[in-house]
Amino acid sequence: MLDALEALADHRRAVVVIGAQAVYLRTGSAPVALAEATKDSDLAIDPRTLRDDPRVEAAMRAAGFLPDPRHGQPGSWVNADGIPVDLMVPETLAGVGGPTTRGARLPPHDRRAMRRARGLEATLVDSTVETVNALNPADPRVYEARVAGPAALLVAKTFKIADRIDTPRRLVDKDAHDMYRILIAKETEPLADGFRRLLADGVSAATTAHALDEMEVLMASGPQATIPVMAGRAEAGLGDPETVALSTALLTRDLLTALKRS
Amino acid sequence: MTMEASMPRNGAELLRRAVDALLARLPASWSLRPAPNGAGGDRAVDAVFTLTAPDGQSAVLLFEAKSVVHGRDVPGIRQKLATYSSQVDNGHGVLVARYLSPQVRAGLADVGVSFVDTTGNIRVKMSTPGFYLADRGADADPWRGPGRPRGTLKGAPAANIVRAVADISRDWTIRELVQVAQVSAGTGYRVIDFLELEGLATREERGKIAVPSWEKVLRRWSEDYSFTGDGRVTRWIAPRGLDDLMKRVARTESVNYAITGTIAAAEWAEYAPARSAAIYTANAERAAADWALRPADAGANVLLVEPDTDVPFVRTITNSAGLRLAAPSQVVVDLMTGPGRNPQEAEELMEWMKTNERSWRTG
Repeated sequence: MLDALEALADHRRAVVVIGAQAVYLRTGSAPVALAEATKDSDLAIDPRTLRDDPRVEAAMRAAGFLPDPRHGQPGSWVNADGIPVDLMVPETLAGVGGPTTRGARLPPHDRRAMRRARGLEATLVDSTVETVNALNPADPRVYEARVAGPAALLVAKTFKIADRIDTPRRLVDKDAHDMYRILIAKETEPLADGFRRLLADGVSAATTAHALDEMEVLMASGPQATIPVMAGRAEAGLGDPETVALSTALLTRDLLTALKRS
Repeated sequence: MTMEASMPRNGAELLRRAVDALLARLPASWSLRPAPNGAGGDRAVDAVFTLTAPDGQSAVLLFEAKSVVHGRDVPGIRQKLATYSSQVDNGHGVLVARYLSPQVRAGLADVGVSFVDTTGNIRVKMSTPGFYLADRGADADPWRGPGRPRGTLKGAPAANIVRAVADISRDWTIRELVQVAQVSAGTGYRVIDFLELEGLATREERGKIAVPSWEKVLRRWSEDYSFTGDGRVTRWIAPRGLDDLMKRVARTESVNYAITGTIAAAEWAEYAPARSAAIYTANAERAAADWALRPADAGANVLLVEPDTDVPFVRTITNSAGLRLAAPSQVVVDLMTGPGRNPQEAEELMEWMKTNERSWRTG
């Protein structure tokens, strides 16, 4: 992850850490049964602050990253150590393109340098600069980087799961467990405040409203709903799946109730 | 193993059934036969048999039959059988009884007395010839009828006395004990009589009562008391998990409570991360509201118990996090009778209690 941040150092203001790394940074103290460590790095790119130079593809190659041959999709990079990095641009800001366009069209950057992705708009609005350490304690490097906030991460994860719901083999229980991790780490009211800010910002309002509708059905309807069940299953054999599922549903219901009150 | 349903009517039938029980389990190459007259030495011996090994070595089994055996009878029985066997070449005493409770069996095994009861509890062990036979029968007296009430440690007064003699290390007069345990004198006598009958308390000179083993008293109590069996149980979920719950509990003081189970035990002997919290409280609904618990069935991670007695709230301990924990003597019995791995955790805590007696027992 630090390798990727280093590669895009000149674009630092446009880069937001999302995905599991961001969840870990936001919830490091939440007591759950799954280990947080992950070497995958997901980065959201904000086209509004992305400079023309250096070109993203050139910066990545200069830092030793190459297009990941395993996926063959735009925005997937990997370095010689096998560290994968995904560069993603929120769909509504990713330039022209039809429903089948996968690469972000942000000239002069290469059309395969970054991938367009649904639901990431919120991560550009809800983020703060945090100190990021290497996963390996022996690595002394420290970076200041924008990290997505908990509300934005919930929106992004909701889109990721909702988009895959019709192809269950692509659903990853860990994504749901990351949502559970955020819900138990944050008190309802501050989390609701984050959602209120997202709903009030033109960039993220539509995405966030859509995510809340999905959360109503996929999370808050009860412990048998898709996301609570996935979150619980992620702890099978380690923790207590039923407790995780019920907690996920109850805390989502609390959040939605708080938002309806305001 | 099969067990005859009717109660043995007399000593002869008791012995017949005991010998049958041994024969049924004896390896084919061994034999057990009535010994010739006079082989038993002492004429008070109830029956004498010869046990013969495949290599021809043999022992003389000297049977002592008793209908009922209490814990306090064990030392006398051991003495009697030792006297019998000392009068006979290669003699080996065996106690035969209608039924032997788990405590009595443990007591007999501790002092090396072989026994057979008619429900199939067997432990016969000797070195010449090398022989060991053990089996498990009933853990409750199948012939205990309504006409023969058996004492128990059920109920609040017994709980108070058990906890007092476990928590406080001293010899007691009845007057002191009933005062500390806050029970009536009559009840105090009844409970002490029962402990004495079970061999768990002894009367010393000048009426002092001694309790040689707090551990045995607690184990005996666990047969009559359990965390979920002696109070109103409700199930809840702390949706942000147990660490978050503990912070909330430490912050609120409105309702009387005492944490027990795995979380309390971890204060003294950590065994495994807690999956659920077990908490005594005087008012479950109010505690749940204070601690942001929600009612839950599947997925519950908190058990609240409104106890029938106040004894769980007696001699509680406040830890460095500001949490009120039930006393170790309470926690260990709750774990003994709890679900899942609780019984193993109880053994772990019991070991700690034995090694660190001075840090939790007051004198």
